[in-house]
Amino acid sequence: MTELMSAAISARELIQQLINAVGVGSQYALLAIGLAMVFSLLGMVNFAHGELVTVAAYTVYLLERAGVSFWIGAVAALLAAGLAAMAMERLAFRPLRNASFATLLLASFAVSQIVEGLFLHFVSPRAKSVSVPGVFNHFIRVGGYTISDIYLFSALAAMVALGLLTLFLRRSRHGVAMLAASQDFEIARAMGIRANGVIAAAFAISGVLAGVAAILILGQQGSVSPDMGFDPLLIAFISCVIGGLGSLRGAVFGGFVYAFIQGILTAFLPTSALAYGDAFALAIVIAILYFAPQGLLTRVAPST
Amino acid sequence: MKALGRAGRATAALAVPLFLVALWADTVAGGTLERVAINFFITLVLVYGLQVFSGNSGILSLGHISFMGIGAYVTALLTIPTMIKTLAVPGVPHWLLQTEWGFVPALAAAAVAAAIFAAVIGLMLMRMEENALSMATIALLVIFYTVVEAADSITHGPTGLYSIPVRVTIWIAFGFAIGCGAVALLIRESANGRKLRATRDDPVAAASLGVNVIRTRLWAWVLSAAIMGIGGSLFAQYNLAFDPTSFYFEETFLILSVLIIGGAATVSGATVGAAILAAVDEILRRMEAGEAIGPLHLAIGLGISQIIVAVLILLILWKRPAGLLGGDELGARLFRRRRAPAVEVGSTTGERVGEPT
Repeated sequence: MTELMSAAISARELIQQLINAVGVGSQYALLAIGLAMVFSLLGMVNFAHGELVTVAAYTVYLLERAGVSFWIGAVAALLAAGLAAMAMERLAFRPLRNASFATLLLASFAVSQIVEGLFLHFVSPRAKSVSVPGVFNHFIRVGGYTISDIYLFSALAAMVALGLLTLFLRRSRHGVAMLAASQDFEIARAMGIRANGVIAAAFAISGVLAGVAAILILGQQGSVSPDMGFDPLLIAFISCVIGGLGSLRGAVFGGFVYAFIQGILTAFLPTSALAYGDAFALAIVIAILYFAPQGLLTRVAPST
Repeated sequence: MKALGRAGRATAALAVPLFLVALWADTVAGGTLERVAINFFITLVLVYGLQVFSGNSGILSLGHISFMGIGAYVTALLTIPTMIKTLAVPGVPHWLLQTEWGFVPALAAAAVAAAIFAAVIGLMLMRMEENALSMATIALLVIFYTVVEAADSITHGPTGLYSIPVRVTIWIAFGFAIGCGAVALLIRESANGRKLRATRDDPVAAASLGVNVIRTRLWAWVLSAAIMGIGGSLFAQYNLAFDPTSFYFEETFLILSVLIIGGAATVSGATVGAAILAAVDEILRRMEAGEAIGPLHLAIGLGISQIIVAVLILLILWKRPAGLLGGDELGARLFRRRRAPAVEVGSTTGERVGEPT
């Protein structure tokens, strides 16, 4: 009897976690797709990707301190993150075009250290609170399940952003060029696509999407700190590996899968084991790298 | 024998400057600078450890600091006084609580533990394609961090372990730096080491010549983990206390930067990189603290030093992608005149780090 009851409870708990996972997964997808875009063009895991979240969040914080409303700040933040991404590419990564995987990884880590150092020095090493609109703290109840507005908002934002991105990639000339370059950069260049333009645009888009994720993250945690970019980076990386690094669709898929894995682990792991949750998730990542290095979406492994 | 000679000459080329550093730290410098020198030697052990795998195989590993962590935790659990262990880590078995080992057995245990751990996961990791392997090592690092932070009753969680008996002196640190440097050079010049370097330059060609790529990589992976374990043990027995953040991305990129700045292909490159970074780091630390450096008195604010180091790394990546020293060991250069340049597998292409495949 008690067993049945606890099973019923965990089924409810599971459904609740899965509902949350849709919201969380939307954020993960937004973070992952930028990383995947850059990887598909340059073969680089951009360790500074998380700093784009930091830049966006600090833009909101600094503007709010100057008396600008949260939402205007949010729009400015998207712009700032896009510009920051383009600046990173132009200043730090362009001189390293065609460098090795190791060199690019180290360079992007150096960039992330620089960005973090700037906020540490010019703002504060400590976390600063941001007053967030009430919209982020509400939730609604449907049939006994809680759906927080921030997750609804995340899902909506992700749908809009990814919809616009798809439209751009399929309908506009630049978008098609980028899609072609992401599949085979060398051939695309041979067909007359300008490398610098495509790469700059990819960085800009990855920045704006990270900016959208940053607003959602800010809405949830209500504070900024110089090292806040680290968790988003790890999330984006894990999501990308699950979906197959370099695949845009895979990144979105991976973001949701990662969120679902976390949700399921939260529902089923005993409280004492919850602290190990990330370790489980990353063990799964290693397994995926071992058994399906091209990600879970790709059936036939294309030669790289 | 030729290989032994080459390793010997390169070791000699390392030993003299390092001996002078140790002597200077012991007699003239003292105090803070002695601390800097000891930390420099411990960093050297760690960099040599990473060089054995990444330098020779050309595969970037971001997971090596977890081997250092294993070494440090094993050492701490074996050496901390029983009384303190009973308070901090009640979850460990009774016999371990009673254990208070000395320097050498604890260090040996650290090396063995790191090697066993590496062997177990290496069986899986070494089968992966190069870039997938690099990414799996990132996962390895995060898993290690998550587990030591969560396993509170054995590792004392985020607070970390403390009261480790301090046994590392400047001469012990120097001895291990030279010893591990010599071992790294021997590994580099050994038959397996040459095979490994051949797989770095062209894995397919090497395999077609009969090199067992997976086994050769696993061999270096385990040896390099053992050296990392020794480095972790020295770190623990010098620094008295540590916590899980001591073995995470910051330390990983520190070691990696050292390797890339000097040139990952050679052991002397790793040494030069470590010396430069130790010097820059100490100068910046003093500037941050507002102390004078010689006649100069430049104070810098918080966060600026990490920016300067990062810019330095970027500059080297831009201007000298093979590192400051490039592909040759220092000894090879010093003694080159006397003998005809030896033709060896893997050094013909001006050795670059982690060529894309």
